[in-house]
Amino acid sequence: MKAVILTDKLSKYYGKGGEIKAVDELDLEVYEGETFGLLGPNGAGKTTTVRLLNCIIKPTRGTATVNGYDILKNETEVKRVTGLLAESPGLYEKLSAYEFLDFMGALYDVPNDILSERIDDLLKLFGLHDRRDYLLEGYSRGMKQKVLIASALIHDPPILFFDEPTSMLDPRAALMVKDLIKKLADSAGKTIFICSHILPIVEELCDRIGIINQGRLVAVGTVDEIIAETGTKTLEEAFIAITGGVEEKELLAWREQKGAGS
Amino acid sequence: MPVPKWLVVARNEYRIRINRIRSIRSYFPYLVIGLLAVYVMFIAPALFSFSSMISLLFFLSKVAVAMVPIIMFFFYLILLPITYTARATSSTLWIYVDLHVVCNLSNTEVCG
Repeated sequence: MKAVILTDKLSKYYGKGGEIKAVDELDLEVYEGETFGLLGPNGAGKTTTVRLLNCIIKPTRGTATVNGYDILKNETEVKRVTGLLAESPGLYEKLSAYEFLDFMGALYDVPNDILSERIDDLLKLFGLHDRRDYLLEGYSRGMKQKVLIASALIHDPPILFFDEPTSMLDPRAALMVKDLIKKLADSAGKTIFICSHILPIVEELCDRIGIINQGRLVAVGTVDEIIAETGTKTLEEAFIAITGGVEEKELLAWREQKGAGS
Repeated sequence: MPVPKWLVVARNEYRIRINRIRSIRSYFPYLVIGLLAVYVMFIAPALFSFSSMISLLFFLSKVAVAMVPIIMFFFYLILLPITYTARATSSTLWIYVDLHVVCNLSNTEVCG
């Protein structure tokens, strides 16, 4: 299988002397057509990894290739082959869905004759065609998320990055987004890279997962492989075992004991 | 050929700015150009002639009267040192002329 995302000791440090290691020597391979999930607790370095792989920030050390393009040397090409749904994306609320997608398509140099047709197709796919001329400020959060996913697809990239795609959504909208991602992976044959700390979504959608903790990749494999490696029964238990959540459990147990004693 | 990015961003900004009049967006530029032409051809000249007439009348009747003493004061400030200088120069010249005449007439050694 061809690796479309390949990182080589990818690192991003912040602070004086690089004391804060957001991502530390990350070696990762994501294969063509697979759905890969990057799991990790808050502040583990998931979003930084996505931002590095989309050439939004530059690495402190190491490099990566995305669809064969080096993130340090071919920034424009990398941006052309990736679509990004950021965790807190900017949305022009005073534009309609059609205008917003038209703007995004123009930024990606999608030819005009293709662009209008593609916008119509995407709006129909996401069930927004009837409200295409409504201002985005009147859309629900789920609908806005749909528009943002459509904007990530507007230039038809082979690789899609979804950073916490369901974190701000209610269960109904989250289910809808999950179905959309599934549809994209199954029917459109895209390579999908999902960052999340919501385990059931990752478990259901992803072919393989990686667990990142304090900037370091601590486990990679299928869900079954990771569960087997940690000797646990569920992904949640495996995640806690790998990321050090056991200590938290012990802390809670101590509190419970204290409560029982008093 | 791809559209320059600044133009894409500018067009987007234009759309955001005029989102209140989205219903007339398609003919809004023509409306603006038409209104501008009317303003340049008719309204602006009429306003200018009216305002210039009003301002001229105001200047002559009120401002000029108030300005004359001020202007005169500044003239006085300029003329006063010149007058003193001229008077001093004139006195020196007369003393020199008188002395020269006296020397010529008496042919004394005072004049060297």
